[in-house]
Amino acid sequence: MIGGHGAAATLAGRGAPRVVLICLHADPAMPAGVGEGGGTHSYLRELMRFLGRSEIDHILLTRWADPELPQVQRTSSHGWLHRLRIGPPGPLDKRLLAGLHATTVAAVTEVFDEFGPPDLLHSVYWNSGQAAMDVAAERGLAFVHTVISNGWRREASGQDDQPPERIAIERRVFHAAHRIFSICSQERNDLVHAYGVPAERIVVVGRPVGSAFENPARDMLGRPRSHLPDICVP
Amino acid sequence: MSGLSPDSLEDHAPWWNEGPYLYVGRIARSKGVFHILSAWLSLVARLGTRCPDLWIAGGAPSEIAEERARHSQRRLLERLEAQGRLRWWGYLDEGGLSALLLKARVLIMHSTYEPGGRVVLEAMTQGVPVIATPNGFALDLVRDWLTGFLVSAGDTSLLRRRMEHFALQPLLGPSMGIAARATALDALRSWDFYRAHGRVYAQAAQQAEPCSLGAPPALPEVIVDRLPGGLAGRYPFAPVIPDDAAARLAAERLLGLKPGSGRIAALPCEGGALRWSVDAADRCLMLTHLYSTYEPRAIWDCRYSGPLFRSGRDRRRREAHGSRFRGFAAVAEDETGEFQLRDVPPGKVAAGNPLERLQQALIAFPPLWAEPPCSDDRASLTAAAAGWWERREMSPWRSEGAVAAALRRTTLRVAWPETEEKLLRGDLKVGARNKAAVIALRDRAGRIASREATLTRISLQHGEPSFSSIGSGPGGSCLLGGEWAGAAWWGRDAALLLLRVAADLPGEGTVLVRDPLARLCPEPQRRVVVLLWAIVERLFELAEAGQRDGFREEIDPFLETLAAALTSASP
Repeated sequence: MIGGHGAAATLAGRGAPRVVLICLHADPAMPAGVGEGGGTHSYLRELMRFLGRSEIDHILLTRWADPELPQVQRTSSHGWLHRLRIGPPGPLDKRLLAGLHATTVAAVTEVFDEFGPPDLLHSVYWNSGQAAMDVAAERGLAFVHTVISNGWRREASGQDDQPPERIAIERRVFHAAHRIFSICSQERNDLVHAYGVPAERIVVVGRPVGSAFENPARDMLGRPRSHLPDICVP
Repeated sequence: MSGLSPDSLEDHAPWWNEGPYLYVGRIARSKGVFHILSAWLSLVARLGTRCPDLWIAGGAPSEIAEERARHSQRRLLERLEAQGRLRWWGYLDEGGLSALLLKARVLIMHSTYEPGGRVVLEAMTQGVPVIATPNGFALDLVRDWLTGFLVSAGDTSLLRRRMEHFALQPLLGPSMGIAARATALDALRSWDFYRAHGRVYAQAAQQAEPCSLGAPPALPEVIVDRLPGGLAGRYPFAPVIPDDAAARLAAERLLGLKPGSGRIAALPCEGGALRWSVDAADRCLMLTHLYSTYEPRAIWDCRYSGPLFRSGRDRRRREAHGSRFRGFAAVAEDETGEFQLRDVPPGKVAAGNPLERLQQALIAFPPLWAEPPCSDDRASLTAAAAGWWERREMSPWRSEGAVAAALRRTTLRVAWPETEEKLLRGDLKVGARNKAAVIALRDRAGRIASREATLTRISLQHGEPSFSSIGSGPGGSCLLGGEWAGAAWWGRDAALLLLRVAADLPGEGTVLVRDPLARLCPEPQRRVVVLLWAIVERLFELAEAGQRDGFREEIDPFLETLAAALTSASP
């Protein structure tokens, strides 16, 4: 990774990125399995890896939640990670993000003003979807959205810690998005039945797994794995 | 792998794979770590050192400390930690998690809500089954007794029970792992995560109509391989499984056919056997390959101390031996000893027979035959059925695992006086367990039973409690599966009666069985199973007592009562 701790890389001189990912909820630098690091963080890493390998220019916009990390980092020859100032840099209760919507839209727009608009917006998680929806409408851009947990299912499973406006906002986002990425069929069914999203606009994409799981060190008989996958180009 | 023969792999694989339970994920309340610990502690109390260790991966030290502090049994936890039976691994990267999974017996995920639950996918991909709450990927990919188990959040009792299966039968994990890995890899191929994103990006950037992509990728169905996973599944370390081509070759050799002249078709695997139908020279025959399996009884029977797996070689030898008895369909073996051929159409009793319908219903739900009572529904069902059984002083229903015990006891059996005599004379070779049955008979009677009394009470057991164990051969109805021929109790064995119903009493059997079944078919299948066994038991008792004519008068009210009780007990 270029632009490590304290090295303020810059986007100056770059052309317009093709894809802007927005996820205020998760910084892909955070590992899964500790604190709030979980599946969304891994998902963003997987997307950035894919875009980098596909030579698609992209910027991931997230909230600057850890002031020890630089505001801008280069992740590949085609990718950048830009941490936005939405509230003071540092941890923030995510339920407060809805109240910072206007700040978020302004911060995203500022990036566009500086570097030009992308071809596509891709938001992840509901409050980022709201930002993407509004920016896309203002700039005439297409946006796609990844759900990763929905308020209706959370509520149905007894979790009452989410902002009351979440489900209404989600409904608007889901209907405005060009396409919805859903990671499993349960979520797709929720969107169709609880949010009224047309099924044909939802793509179930699942999740990839790392090569360590597809090709573990040995099989259950103790035989070492073949190392061929290491040198095979996907 | 050079230097390792298939046999040595079979021998050494079990101890190598006796691993711990594993949880992977954040240490947060919604993840259910508390419930996992509670279930595990309960299992430790129940099984002692037989209970596998518990490994928990994820979390920062402060989060782990907070989770430990939540438990009222803190001292017990600390003792188990000191013994190395409970390990907190903290955060690990992909390589570290993969290493833990290599040693894990089963992954446990118990989240209240999980949008996806990638650890489920990772574990299954690596060949580790999963016990999970019905959310996300688990809901899509985990099937009870095939790739793991689904347990509702907070149901610690059921969670403990499912965990116990893996403790009592260590081969369950790797066996289900075969199906788990195949299922996960199929899912990954079907989703095609990266390509799907690329396609949508390309289209959305052009603001094209969404429908031009076609239908969204279908989520894969769970693979139901010809080799079943889970209960009564294949011994997971068997190195070679014959394919259709090998089966064809064997059939041609056995029947003296020209290559390619017969028609051979693979059938669903059943009874721990690969099966093929063989149509040749105007005959329809069944070719089987009995493969190595693990012992399912160990899964729910804490007191079971026999072998944990049965080698295919031994099973085929027993099959050939048992099938020489009268009543069984004879088998012919090919020269390799891998295949056996019967002159019996596979799988079905005669068309139009009242048992046919029952057979089909039961084949659709094979695990229910031997699945121990676990869910509340099953508990209700057991309670409802227990009354009827207890009135007849069948006390095994009172104890835990009673349904399984009763199903085992109510195995299909058949008696032949000459075989009994051989048994008592010591001419019939039987296993140690069956010899113990003879001894137990004498002990239970408080004295050594007289020769005459013993003659009437010891029989030859068929074993498999399945209607598909009855076939229609050239000489009429016959039993399949001589592998399980052995000494057993006489008195409640039903095979002989079933044969009578199948062959001699079609009219009566039709009336007796079809009416209640027609009413109960829409109900959960397990109710039908219990009813069927109750009917079979009672049929047998009445037939033995020479009261066959009075059966309807007695059984109809019983069926009404039981059906009502079972229906009202449904969730």
